[in-house]
Amino acid sequence: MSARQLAMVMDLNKCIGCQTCTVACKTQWTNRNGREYMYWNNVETKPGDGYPKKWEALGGGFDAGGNLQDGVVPSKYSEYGVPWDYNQDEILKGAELQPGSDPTVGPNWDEDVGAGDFPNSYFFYLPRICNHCSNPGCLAACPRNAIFKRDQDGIVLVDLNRCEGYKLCIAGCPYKKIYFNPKLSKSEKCIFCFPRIEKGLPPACAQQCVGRIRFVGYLDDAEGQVAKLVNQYKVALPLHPEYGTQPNVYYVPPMSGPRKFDKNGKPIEGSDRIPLAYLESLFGPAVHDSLKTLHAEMDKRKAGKPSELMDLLIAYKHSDMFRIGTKAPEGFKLPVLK
Amino acid sequence: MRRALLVMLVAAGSAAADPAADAFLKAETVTASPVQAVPTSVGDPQWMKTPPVSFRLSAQRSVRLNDKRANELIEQPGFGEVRVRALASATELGVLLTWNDATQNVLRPDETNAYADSAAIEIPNVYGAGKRLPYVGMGDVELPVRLYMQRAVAKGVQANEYVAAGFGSLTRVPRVQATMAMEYDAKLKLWRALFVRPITVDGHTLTQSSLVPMAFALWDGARNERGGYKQLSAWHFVILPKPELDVAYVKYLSWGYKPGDLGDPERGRAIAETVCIACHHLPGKTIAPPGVAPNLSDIGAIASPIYLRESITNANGVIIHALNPNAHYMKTAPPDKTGAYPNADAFQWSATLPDGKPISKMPPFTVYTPEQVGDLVAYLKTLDGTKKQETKP
Repeated sequence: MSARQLAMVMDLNKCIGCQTCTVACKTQWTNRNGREYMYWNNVETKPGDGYPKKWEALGGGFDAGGNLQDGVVPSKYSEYGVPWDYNQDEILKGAELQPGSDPTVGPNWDEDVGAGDFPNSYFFYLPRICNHCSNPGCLAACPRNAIFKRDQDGIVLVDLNRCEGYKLCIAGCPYKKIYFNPKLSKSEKCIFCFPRIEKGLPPACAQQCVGRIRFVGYLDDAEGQVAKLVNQYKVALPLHPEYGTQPNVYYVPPMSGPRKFDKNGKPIEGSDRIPLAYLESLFGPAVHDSLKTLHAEMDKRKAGKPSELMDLLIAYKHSDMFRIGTKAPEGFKLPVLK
Repeated sequence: MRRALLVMLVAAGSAAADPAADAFLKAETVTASPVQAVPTSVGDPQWMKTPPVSFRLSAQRSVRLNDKRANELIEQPGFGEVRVRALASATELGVLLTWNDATQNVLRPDETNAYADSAAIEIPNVYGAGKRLPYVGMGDVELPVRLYMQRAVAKGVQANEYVAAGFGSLTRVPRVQATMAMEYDAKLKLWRALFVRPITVDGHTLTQSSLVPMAFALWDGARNERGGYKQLSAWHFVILPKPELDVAYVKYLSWGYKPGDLGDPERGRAIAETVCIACHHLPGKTIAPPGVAPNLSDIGAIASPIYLRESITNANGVIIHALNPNAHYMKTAPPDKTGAYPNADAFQWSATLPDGKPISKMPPFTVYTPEQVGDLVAYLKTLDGTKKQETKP
C-alpha cells in the first residue's frame, strides 16, 4: 500500500516497564485538547487485560479471507479510564489516602499482576504503539477516505479535515490504537512522530527508552538492525499476526527467566516459566523458532563465540539502532502524491 | 394547497387527468407555503400554522458498516417517519423536520462512545425536466448533491454544509450559508430541526424546477447512529410557490405511480431471485458475498420507481463507488514488498476504463422487455423493511 515501510522492533527481554516511553509520548502529543485520556504509547503487563481494558476481545481486524471484521468502540468510563485525584489536603489532617472518585479501570490498572501461582507466577511488559499496519484495519473501516498511509514511509495518518468522527476506525482497529477525541469529535492516533522522522530523529518513545529496547528503521534497508532482526534472524515478530493487518511493530519475544520451582523449591530443569502456548497466542507459531534462535545465539556467546544477533540486541549505539535517514534503495522513486 | 396545485396542473393542460401525476404528487410532495420571510426560529408560530406531510424513514442497510453494537441496534425499530413542513420566500427556502424520539442524545465532550441525535437534508446539484435523480444515499459519480447536516450538542447544534458524489465523498463546504437549529421538546418527546437556505448558494439555485428534490436523514444517538448508520427517506419533492408546476418533470418522476405501470411483483421476484442475487442480497436470499453489491433488502423504502428502472437498464449512468474499497483484501494474491495485500476487485462496484471513464460492475440489463423491467421494479418496490419506534407523541 506504501512504497516503503518504516518499522519498529521492541526487545521485550529488556523492557523494565518504567513507562518513560509513555511519558515521552504523553508530554509530546497527548496532554491537551481532548487527548488527555489517550495513551498513543502504553506499556501493559501481560498476561493481563491491557489498555483499553480487554482490547483483545473488542474485535476489528480481518478474517482469514481478508474481510474486515466488526468491532466495538470502547467507552472512556468502562474501558479507557478517567484520571482521578487523591485527597492530598485531607491526609495532612489525619485522613487516610483516598482517591476522589471510585475508579474501576485505568491505563495501567493491572500492572505486575500477571498469572500463575507463587513461586511460579510470571509476567512481562508489552509496550504498544500504533502498528502502522500494511493493511490497516482503521483505514479499511473508514467510510470517509480520511485515513491514509504515507508513501515514503508507510506511516498511517488521519486527515483531520476529512474525519467526521464516525469512530468506525476504532471498531476496525484490532489493537484499539486509534482514539476518539471527544472534544474535537475526530479520531487521532500515534503518528510515529513523523515530524521527528522528517528531521532524521526516531520517535520520542524510542529516543527516551531507558532499556534501549526499541530499534527503528526501514524494512527494505537490509543493513539496518530492524531488517536484520525481522527478516534475517526472524527473531522479531508482529503482535497477533492472526488479526490480519500486517503490523509493522515487531517484538523480540520474552525468553523465560528463572526456571519454575518444584514443591521443594528446587528449579525444574528445562521448564518454561512463561508458557510457550501463551507466547504463541500473542506472537503466532513463529515464536518457537524465534526463541530457539535467541537461545542458540545466547549459548554461542556464553561459549565465547561471536554472535552478531547478541551484539545487536545489546543495542550499543543509537546511531545503529535508529536508521531513519537511510537512503532509499537503488531505483526507488517516491510516487507523486495525488 | 395540494388541491390548488392540481388545479394548476389541470390549468397547465398537458398533464390533465394524469392519474400517475396525481398519485405521485399526493404521495411524494410537500408544498412550500409562500411567506414574506422564512422564520429562522424553530418555535416560530408560522411553522405550526403550516400543515406537515409525513414521509417514511428506513434504516440504511444498502451497505453494512463494522460497528458491532450499532449492527445489533439496527435490528430494533427506528423512528419510522419524519414530518416535514416547508415555507418559501422570494429569497429563501425553509423546511422544519419533526420526529418523535424517546431520548435526547447530544454530542458529549467527555465520552468516547456517545452519539448525537442529528438531522440532514440533501438536494441534487442539478435537477428538473430531463435530469435523472441521483442515488439517494449522497448522490453518485455523475450527479453530486448538496447536504445540510446538524448534530445536537449540549447547547445548540454543530451545523455543516457539504457536497457529495456518492459514498465516501462527503466534503465540507468551507462556509455554511444556511441557518440550522434543532430543539428537543422534553414534554412531547420530539425533536424539531430547522433548515433555512438561500434560494441561490454558490451558483446552486433552487429554481431549476418548481419541484425541488429533497431527501431526509435522521440519526438516533440512542441507536449509536452516525455516518452511514442512519434512517433515511426516499427522494421527496418540495413544491415551490413559483414558478408554475414543472409538468414535464412531474411526468418523468411519476412513472410507476399509476396502477399498471409497474407490472407483476411475483414475476419480478422470479427474475430477481435467479439473476440479481448473484451479487445483491434480497430478503432471505444472501448467497452473494456481503459487500459485493448494495444490499437490496430495503431498497423499496428509499428508491423511486424511475430510479430503479434506470439503475436496471442503464447501470453505467448510475455509478456508485463501493463504500470502502479497502474493507476486503485478496489473501490469495502475493503481498507487495511491505507485506500489504491488494484490495479484492470483486468488492469494487466500479472499474476505470483505459480512457479514465468509470464503468459500473453491474451490466446494463437491456435484455429485458419494458414489461419485465416493470415487473422487476414492482418487486423491488415491495422491499421495505421499515420498522417504527414505539413512542407516545
